[in-house]
Amino acid sequence: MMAYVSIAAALVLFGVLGVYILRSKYETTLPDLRLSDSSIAGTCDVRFGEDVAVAEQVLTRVFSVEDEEFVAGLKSSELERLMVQERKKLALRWVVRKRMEARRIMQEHTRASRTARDLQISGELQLVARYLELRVLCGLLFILVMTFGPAGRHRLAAEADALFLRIRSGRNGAASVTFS
Amino acid sequence: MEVRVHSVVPTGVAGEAHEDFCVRSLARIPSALERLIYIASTRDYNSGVYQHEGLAGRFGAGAAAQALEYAHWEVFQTVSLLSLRRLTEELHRYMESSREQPIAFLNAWQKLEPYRVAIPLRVDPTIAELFISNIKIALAVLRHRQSAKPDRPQDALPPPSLAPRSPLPYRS
Repeated sequence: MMAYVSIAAALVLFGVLGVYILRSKYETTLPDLRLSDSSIAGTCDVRFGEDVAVAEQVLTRVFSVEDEEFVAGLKSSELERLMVQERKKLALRWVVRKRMEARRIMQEHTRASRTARDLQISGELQLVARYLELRVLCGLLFILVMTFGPAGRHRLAAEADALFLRIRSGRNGAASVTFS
Repeated sequence: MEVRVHSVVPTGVAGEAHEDFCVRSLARIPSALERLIYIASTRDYNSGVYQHEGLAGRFGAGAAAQALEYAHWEVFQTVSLLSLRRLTEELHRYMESSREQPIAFLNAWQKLEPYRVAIPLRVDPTIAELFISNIKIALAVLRHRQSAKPDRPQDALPPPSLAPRSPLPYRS
């Protein structure tokens, strides 16, 4: 019995390590986020496609089953492989990007909080709870997309996106009203 | 909710230039993909600034550039959000209108990836990646269809034409 538990624990740890390594790999291939903090930020204050309506449509397309069905209808294993590979890469990068953006927002918020005069504990706890929930959702989405592909995961992705938007708008609102 | 894109919608003279460009130039181009390639061709590779002599003559260089940038984003968004089936059809139509041999066209597009220059400068990275990914898959679908067709004899090919190969209208 003990041996089975040890093997199961080892497998779980191995899985977690694998996910961690893969996620790090995807993080290092996202230069746009790192640049947005410094050099580009001054010149690219507005990026097309960041509005909510377009972001939702992009999300629908990335996680849609319609395109996969079209490729499946062509009866080519090579095309199907390419489709899964491309969509998986796209979906994973989206998940990692959301997680990194949320982390950046929280870091900025923590910096601003240090000089804040009237911190509201309930608001802060709510923000932290949302951030942790987003982290969990992103982790789950990453594992699901990695294992089964992005098709059909649209609902979960939309949930993560909505949560991200709440964190961003909550933080922006707090920053303009609460902090001096 | 935060909606940032409205801050770049052209207004005033730039808005008029945008409308004029859509009516006079874009409306004459049949497919969204061709419209995208046309607008991208008005952007200077080195500076990233959009140039259109006709539009600049009527509305001024600044307004023309702003109008073209916004039109570029609009069309890019349309093409990026097309279903894969529709994008493949559009790409097929563009390939046929280019008057290049399909194999030569596919080789060039898959190896040189010229479609990357069609991406606007300021765009959300996910939508840019979606565009690239969809074009890659659409090209693979076209190659798959091409390889399924029976071989044509080489001597049946038409002689090369001296006429300009671009199906797109000249800039006014």
